[in-house]
Amino acid sequence: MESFCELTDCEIDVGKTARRIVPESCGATVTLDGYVRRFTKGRESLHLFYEAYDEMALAEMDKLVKTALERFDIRAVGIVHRLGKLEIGETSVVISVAAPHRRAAFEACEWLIVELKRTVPIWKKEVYADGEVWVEGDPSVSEPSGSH
Amino acid sequence: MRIKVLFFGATAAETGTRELSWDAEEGMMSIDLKNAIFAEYPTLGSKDRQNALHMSVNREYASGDEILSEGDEVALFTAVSGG
Repeated sequence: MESFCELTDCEIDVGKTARRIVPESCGATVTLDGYVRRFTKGRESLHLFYEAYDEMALAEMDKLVKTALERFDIRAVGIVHRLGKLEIGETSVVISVAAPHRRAAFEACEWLIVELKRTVPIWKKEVYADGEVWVEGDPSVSEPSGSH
Repeated sequence: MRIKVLFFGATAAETGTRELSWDAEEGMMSIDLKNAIFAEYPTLGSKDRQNALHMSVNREYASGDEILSEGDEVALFTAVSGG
């Protein structure tokens, strides 16, 4: 069963995404459903807007999947990140990891979201009642220049 | 030689552009192009802010010492915030 990485402007069906990777060698899929939070650091968002450097984002996600398949006892990974305008509660990212046994899937899923937030060129704009802000990741944890 | 320069998110907002064609000297290093872009677009902010920006060359994170060639694609962007 093939791993996959995708960007989409459409609503993500979390269950369907997870069921795309059900290899017969596996017994568990762990899925992260990341969605839009109303309050961040006490400030209320009306909605979010995500933008990506599409080609590089897909390439970086592919690298993460490849590394995860090497590092953890897992068999397949599916990552879908949504772009454009998202309302509160809508899914922004899904990461599904299928493994023979659940522990490796949990560990790989956590590792993948941490790395995705650090290295994959996607940016989030928070839109508030009184303005909007492009969120900047922490440069100290984000990909340092030339560390690949 | 022509270099394709891309901005995303905050850097696109601050420069008022998403893509431009930059006329660069043959054999230019990516760090020198980065500094030339900063000189052209002071809206990209203070020195500290500039240092916090990331650069990619041909869709790979760049360290600054890449030698650029005709048609290369360079992007400048803030620390990522997806997820």
